[in-house]
Amino acid sequence: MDCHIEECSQPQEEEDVMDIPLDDPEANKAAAKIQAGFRGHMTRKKMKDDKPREEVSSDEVLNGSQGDSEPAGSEGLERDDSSAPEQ
Amino acid sequence: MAPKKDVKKAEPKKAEPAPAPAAAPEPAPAPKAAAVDLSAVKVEFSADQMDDYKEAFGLFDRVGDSKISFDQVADIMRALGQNPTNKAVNKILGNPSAEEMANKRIDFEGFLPMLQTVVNDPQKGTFDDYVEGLRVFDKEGNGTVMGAELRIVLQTLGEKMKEAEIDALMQGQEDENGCVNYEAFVKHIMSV
Repeated sequence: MDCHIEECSQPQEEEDVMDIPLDDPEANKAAAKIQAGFRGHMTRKKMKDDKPREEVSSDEVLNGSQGDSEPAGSEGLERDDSSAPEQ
Repeated sequence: MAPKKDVKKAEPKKAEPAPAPAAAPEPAPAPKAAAVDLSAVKVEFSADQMDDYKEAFGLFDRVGDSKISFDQVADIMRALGQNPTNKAVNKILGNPSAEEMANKRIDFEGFLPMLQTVVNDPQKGTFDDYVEGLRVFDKEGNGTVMGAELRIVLQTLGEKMKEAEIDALMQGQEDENGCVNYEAFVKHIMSV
């Protein structure tokens, strides 16, 4: 099925979206590895950013932090509560 | 009058004895797809490392039962400097259901072999791995990739990332032409 119609319904990005090797297992494997590195970095960065808050303790109780229920399987960067063991 | 149909069979009314009572805190879950055998993992962390890990573990315990839930495991590993794929973590956890992810909890002792497994993983990503992976998209071979293309790759390949995650990641990484110098990018990623 060749789609050489000029006015294709596909939104043609300037970048060649079709070049993305969606089915290539090697490409997916490489992507997953990179994504893992990125996720690690972002989690650590977030922990670093959150640190000053932990030391301040309950001074800055976040208004938005209601409920700790995380959706299952979330790599949740949305977790925004002070996890300091305040006693 | 019972119809005389009962032939003496081997086991009259013996229900299959269920092996594990629900409450048993077994580290190894029911035999699903080849899970990692955590009991065979030798934990080899130094005393200093153990202190760090214990501290982090405490931070993640928001219930106060000295445990963390399955769905926190990936994040605590990342907080401790590891970069596991979600797939690797799922395998270590025994490919849990969504419900198990949210509800099953493990203590520090149970967590250590999981962390050790990730630490021992021979397929861990290195600087070179990341750079080579990105080089694939370096169309002009000049050390840069189009930010927009990288975003699409991150959203459509591998373990897809969400737009918000990608925005956070890419902040400040694209030059005025929307290009990313990927070696610098990877160095930045690995610095934290």
